[in-house]
Amino acid sequence: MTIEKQLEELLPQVSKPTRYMGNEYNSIKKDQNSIKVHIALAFPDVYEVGMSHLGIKILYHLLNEYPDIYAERVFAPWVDFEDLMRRHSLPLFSLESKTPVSEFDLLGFTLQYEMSYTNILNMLELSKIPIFSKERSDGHPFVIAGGPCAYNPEPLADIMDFFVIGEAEEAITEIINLYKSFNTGLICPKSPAFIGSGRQRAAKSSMDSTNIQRGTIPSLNEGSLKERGEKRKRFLEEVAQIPGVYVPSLYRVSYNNDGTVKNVSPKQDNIPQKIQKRVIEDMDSVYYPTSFIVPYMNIVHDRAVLEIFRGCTRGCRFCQAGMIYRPVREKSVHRLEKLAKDIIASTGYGEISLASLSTSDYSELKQLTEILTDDFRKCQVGLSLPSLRIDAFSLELAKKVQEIKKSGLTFAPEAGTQRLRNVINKGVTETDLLTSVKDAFSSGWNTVKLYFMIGLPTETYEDLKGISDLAYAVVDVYRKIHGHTKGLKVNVSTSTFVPKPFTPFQWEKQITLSKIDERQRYLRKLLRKSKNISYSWHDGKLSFLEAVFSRGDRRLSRVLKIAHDKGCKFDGWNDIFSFDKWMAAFNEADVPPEFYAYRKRSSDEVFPWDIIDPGIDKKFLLRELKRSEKAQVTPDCRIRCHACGINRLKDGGFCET
Amino acid sequence: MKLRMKFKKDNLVKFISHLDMMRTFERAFRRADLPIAFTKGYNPRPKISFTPALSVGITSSSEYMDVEFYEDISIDDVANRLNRVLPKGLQIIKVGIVDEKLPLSVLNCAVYVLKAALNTVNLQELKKSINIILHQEEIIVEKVTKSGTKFVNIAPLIYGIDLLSNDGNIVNVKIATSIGQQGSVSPKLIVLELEKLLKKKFEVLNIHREELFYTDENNKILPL
Repeated sequence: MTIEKQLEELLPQVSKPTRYMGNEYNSIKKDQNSIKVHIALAFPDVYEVGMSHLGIKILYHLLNEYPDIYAERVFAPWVDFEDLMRRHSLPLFSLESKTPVSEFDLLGFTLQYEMSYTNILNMLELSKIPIFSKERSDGHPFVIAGGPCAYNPEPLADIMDFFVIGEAEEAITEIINLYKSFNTGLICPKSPAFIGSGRQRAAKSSMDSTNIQRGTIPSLNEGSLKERGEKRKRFLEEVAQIPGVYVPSLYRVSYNNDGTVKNVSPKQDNIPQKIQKRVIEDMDSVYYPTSFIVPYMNIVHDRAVLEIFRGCTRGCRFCQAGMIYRPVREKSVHRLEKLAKDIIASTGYGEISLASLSTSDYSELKQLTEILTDDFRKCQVGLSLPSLRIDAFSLELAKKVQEIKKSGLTFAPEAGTQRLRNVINKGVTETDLLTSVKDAFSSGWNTVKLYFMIGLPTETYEDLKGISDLAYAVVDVYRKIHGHTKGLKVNVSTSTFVPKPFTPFQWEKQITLSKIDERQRYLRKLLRKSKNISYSWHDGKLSFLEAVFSRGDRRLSRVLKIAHDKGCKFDGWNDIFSFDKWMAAFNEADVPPEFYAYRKRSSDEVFPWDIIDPGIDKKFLLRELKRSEKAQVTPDCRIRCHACGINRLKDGGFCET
Repeated sequence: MKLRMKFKKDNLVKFISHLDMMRTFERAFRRADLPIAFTKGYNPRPKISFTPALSVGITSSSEYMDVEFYEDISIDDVANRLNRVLPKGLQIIKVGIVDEKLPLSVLNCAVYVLKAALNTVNLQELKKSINIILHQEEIIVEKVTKSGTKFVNIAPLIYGIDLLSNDGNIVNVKIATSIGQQGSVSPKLIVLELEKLLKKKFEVLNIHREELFYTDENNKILPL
């Protein structure tokens, strides 16, 4: 029975069947006989989460511009459908052509958050692809990964065939071109086994003799199996030469007696010592899609996305994105207006969102928002400006935008006192916040969200009290303006600080679970005195696991496998997450999670992720750590250059700020 | 200006819910650059009204919607313009001026054709079960709604069940039901009742909504 036939029978039994249907407007269908490389782009979460992610959309449309490449989407099936798939032996399949994932040439995962790792293992299992890279042979796709979490690839080192570090628009086509030449025997024509791919499709078409090159291939018999494993290995050695590509199986890790990493080194001479991230130089000429897929179901971010720039100059010390996506590179207003119009014309979306790490920092923001609101007023397309900083200027903009559609206002002071905000280099003051809130309340807003982190380095109970004081001060501002607090909603939410690789806090420890609990309880007590304030918090156990995996080493691959075997999946989903299973997995693997989460690192420690070069110097990060210890603020890069190192990435420099 | 459109929803899009259809059409109108009107206020919605919801999984060649435009447009090329930008599986069949005397909300009869395989069920058994259903005064089923489950008598909502044809082991059954304000019954519920009587699985291959209209004792009026 074909997968499509099986779906006819199974989909009426699942919740939200449109997750698995495909066939959305702008999704791409290709004749599989005319393609040379078939790549599955996988997001290890459900459809509505994965479809909200910009990176996968960019790669999807970019790759499908090539007539001989077919990129398709794969998401994690929700538990109800997974259960049916297992019972009916339905393998994981792609949305467009309903092809089993195991039949693809390449399978690429995007790593957006650590707690999606078990879903990757589950998806491999559902695809009937071996979980560990060393168990795969030429009949299997190459399993690759990229995205922010790939900056510390080590926890997935035994699972991925290779990683792409940094912005993938250029690297992915180089990889595919290499794959193509490998598959058609251009690189190593001497070896006959090389030319014939072990892949079913290739084998089939060689039998049809439709392809001259493939028609000459000797039949693939068992005798060549070993040789075919060789081919896989040779491809990995070749692909490791492409800048930005990290092939973990080609590196050896040695450890000190205390369990820390002693050394990571290539197993052979021709393999690079360090993997430098890839960066797109010109944001105006880089590919950006306009014919985005338009989902039927309501996805998490159900709107058109317009990326306005990459990078961030603020230098918040907890923020990994602010470090790894440097330097700042903007798209021009002219290019953005054209893209926005084309996107709306080809998708029909009713909302367009400006995407970046810090919207207010776009140098022509006022002009851009004016142009876009004017362009779209008539056809009822709203503009949304996420990640706005707190100041009068952005409030002015927000007001303008709200002419069309209204939404709540979100502020992220991150910490409760000025001292702690200085420690983390979040350059906002209480006055900034209260002035903006006052402005917002006078203009008719009555819902504000306040985001904070708890457990930041040097945090005391005074800092926690500061969170509550700020929330009550916001209520007072409202009372002063309106004489009452009816209708006011102040939503305070906290997450627990997770130290991330390539940030000044990469040497810091996370606070313990019992401390997280105590501090959340303290805030709950403080914040429940006002009916206008509601408090929500991120599960501390999840933050603990995030801390383990974000700075983990390759010994965690085994823990992942055991956790997966115990049934861990969708760990980011409260109703499915099981902390007990995780602890049992660490126990069984004899890998103590505290070692990764609770240990303060010395300044000379070798990190598992030191193999990656994000362009930011360790010296710069250490300088920043020292400044944070003295609660010293480092001004925005646009005010003064702090020599972070990013200019190393290109002759003649890179950073224009 | 208000136009009534008849459209079909085929196999490729049969799992799209009623709510998702609204969004799908709103975006299609924008892609077609057709000037649809929006409600005023806090959260503007497009002024589109549909016929009563089609259960998820059922195809149809007889769906209708009324769409308001903020300026007059030529109705000749509306169907073409929309069909060019609709997802595969959705297609506008006919466009006309709205008959204000017959708002879509008063449509009260739907006709479905159900295609099934007679693998485990024989024709005589099926005929017998259909007959029982048609002659029962009361068929109480549980309906899950937003406000909880309630028990409904669907017997008076079933207008007719006809065995149309059987070709080998494939059988076509025509079902007419009440729809709209007086109450509606999904053909899927009738299949469940049939299975209860047959005491085995009735293998339904496809359910298709063929017609939707207003009827009183003497007349049958099509919306378009």
